[in-house]
Amino acid sequence: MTTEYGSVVEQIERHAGVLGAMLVGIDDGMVIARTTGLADTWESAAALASSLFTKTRQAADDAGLGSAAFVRLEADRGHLCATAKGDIVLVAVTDRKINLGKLRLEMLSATELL
Amino acid sequence: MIAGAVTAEWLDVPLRRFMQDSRAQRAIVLRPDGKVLAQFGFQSASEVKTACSLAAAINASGRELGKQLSGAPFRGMHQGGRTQGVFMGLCAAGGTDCLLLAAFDRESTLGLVRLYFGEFKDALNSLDGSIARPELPMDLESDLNSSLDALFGPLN
Repeated sequence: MTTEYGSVVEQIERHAGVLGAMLVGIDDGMVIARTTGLADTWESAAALASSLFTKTRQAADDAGLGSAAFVRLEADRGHLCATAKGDIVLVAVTDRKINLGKLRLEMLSATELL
Repeated sequence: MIAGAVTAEWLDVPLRRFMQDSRAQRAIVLRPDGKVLAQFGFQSASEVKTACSLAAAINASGRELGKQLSGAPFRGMHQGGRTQGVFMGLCAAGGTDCLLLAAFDRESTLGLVRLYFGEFKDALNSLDGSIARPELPMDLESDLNSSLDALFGPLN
């Protein structure tokens, strides 16, 4: 893992309730850096999360809302949160009890390090 | 809906699913010797013929290069462009190798294509008992021509 990218995902993983974090290329949906918490599903999660973020951003743009800065998907057992800087998406997978407000701020500030 | 045709019926459902899920624009499934088994998104037999010949050649070169560089043949290839990408992966069906060649634009990504190619491979593995072993190939050109006739009808 490249150190500067590695430190970004490690910073997010330290947040209570985060199960795993990764940086994914928007253009190719491939993982740039990741934490170890996502078991065997990280590759498919990366591809789907970057696609979700891209499509959501496009939908927001098409609806005249401007560029989507932060996307959150709520599921039965947790949340998937994503934000981007340039052509890199930062993705966090969390449990249900996470403090989403704090995580959002953490993720937005982490992308400034990219 | 992307139009396509298959010469091997067992490929129809898995390949349609791959096309739908991955959002690829075009795809071909072929044997490593160039015999085409199915295609989606191609307009003419000559396009398929060109793609099959190139894919078979790229696969042969890639396998040999892999053997020389790492002692084992490469099992996949990706070429990324600014607006379009091409992915080629090796899978097994009926005890023999097949290649899937897919072209995709910015509606999809390499990650998505790889993800759904994995599901395509799993689908073929689950069908393995019901897939007839292929006949031995005649030669590249006559084999390819007979497959193209089956997909698009005779040229003349």
